[in-house]
Amino acid sequence: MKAVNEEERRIRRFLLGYSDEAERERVEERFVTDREYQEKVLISEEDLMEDYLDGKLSDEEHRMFETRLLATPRQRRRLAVARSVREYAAIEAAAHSPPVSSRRRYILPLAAALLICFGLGVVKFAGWPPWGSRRAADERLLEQLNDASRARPTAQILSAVVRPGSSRGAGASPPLSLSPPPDSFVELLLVLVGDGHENFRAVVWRARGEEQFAVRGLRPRAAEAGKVVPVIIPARLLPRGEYQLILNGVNADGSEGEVAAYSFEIGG
Amino acid sequence: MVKQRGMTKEMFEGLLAWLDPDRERAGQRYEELRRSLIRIFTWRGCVDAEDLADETFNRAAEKVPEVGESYSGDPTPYIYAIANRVAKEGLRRAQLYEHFEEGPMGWPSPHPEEPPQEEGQAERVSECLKRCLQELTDEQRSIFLRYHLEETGPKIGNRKNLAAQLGIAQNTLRVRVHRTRAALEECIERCLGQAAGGETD
Repeated sequence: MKAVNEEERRIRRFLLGYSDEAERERVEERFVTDREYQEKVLISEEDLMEDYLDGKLSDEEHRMFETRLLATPRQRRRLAVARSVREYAAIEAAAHSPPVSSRRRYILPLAAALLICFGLGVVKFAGWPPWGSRRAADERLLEQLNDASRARPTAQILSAVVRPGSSRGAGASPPLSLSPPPDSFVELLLVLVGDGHENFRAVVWRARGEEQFAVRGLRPRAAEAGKVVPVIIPARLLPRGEYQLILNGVNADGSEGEVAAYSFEIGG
Repeated sequence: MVKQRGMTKEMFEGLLAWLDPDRERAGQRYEELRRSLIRIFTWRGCVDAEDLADETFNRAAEKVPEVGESYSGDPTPYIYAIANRVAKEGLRRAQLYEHFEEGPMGWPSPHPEEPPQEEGQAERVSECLKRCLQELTDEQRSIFLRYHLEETGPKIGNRKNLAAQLGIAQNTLRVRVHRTRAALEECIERCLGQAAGGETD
């Protein structure tokens, strides 16, 4: 194992341009004559690319990577592919993750663990998915899903036009009701009336007032129903119940103001 | 297979015969070797990697009548030695004319401008990736995408778990994913080439 690791280190040094001329020529000649070795070098190059995307390279390695391994349009395309694969994998995983209700299993034991933590001053937990980081991960995925420059998910998308207004009060029309299949996405086309913002943030609340998640970076577009703000949400983030969505317009200085509120219902 | 520019048909056939007496195997070896040389030239910082690979084969083909009969064994190391010289010459030229817009005798600038087709590349790559992923088997696609899920939070050990679920060593999984990626990259290059009307880098 040690010899294999030393070989991988040697290959990595070669790829980043740290090898001397003799070593470089040895690696290159073996690269063209030994098929198995060639595969090892190419796999190491892919691993380096991942480390680059993860920000794991030192400043010097980062510079050498960009100089040596992103010098041609084809290499830059390979990086674009690597980036795209990660985004696609994350979006597909979002469509197939376990339902939100399974999170509830963690709440009571998590609360108990937190009490123990404060009581004993113990800090480290293993295996508990903290609520905060799960929400942050969901919101990162939502941002990617709703980035207009990226491709739409390939899974089923249930689209619906939603007009602003409340479901409460006399004479109010019943909220929009949707029943999305478990592995699908819901696209809410939020109708805008007389608003000039170009950037929005949507905050989704369960009817009992519990904030679920926020979606940033939303852009309006023209549609048959008029000007709409599309919001794509994996169905797994919308368990059965009533929801309210607050749409905030984001100003150039980053401040926000509520633009409209929308209600909808997810049925079984 | 396209005949090399600057190389006669006879020279090219002589080169192929030197690589392998079987014409079809020779063609495959030629293509593999060409791809390997392009990669090496790229790592050496040569932006005209494809031209340098062609130059290497031109020179090798010229040598075949002289050394082909007496040479024994795999000609690849000999061809690599030629490539090594070509790379050094290319980099020396680039250094000599670093400060010129265009070198003397019309040699191209060592610092070509960024080609305009790289704008909007991310979106085109994304579209081609989606299309090319559909050409994989369900199993290949699933393994490939699961391998590339973020290795953070609850997904720490994702790749180790994936290998365990498949009943294979982690290194075997790495190799399998690499081969899938190589096939995907070729598919995406073809897709991008079609989208751009056949332009290449």
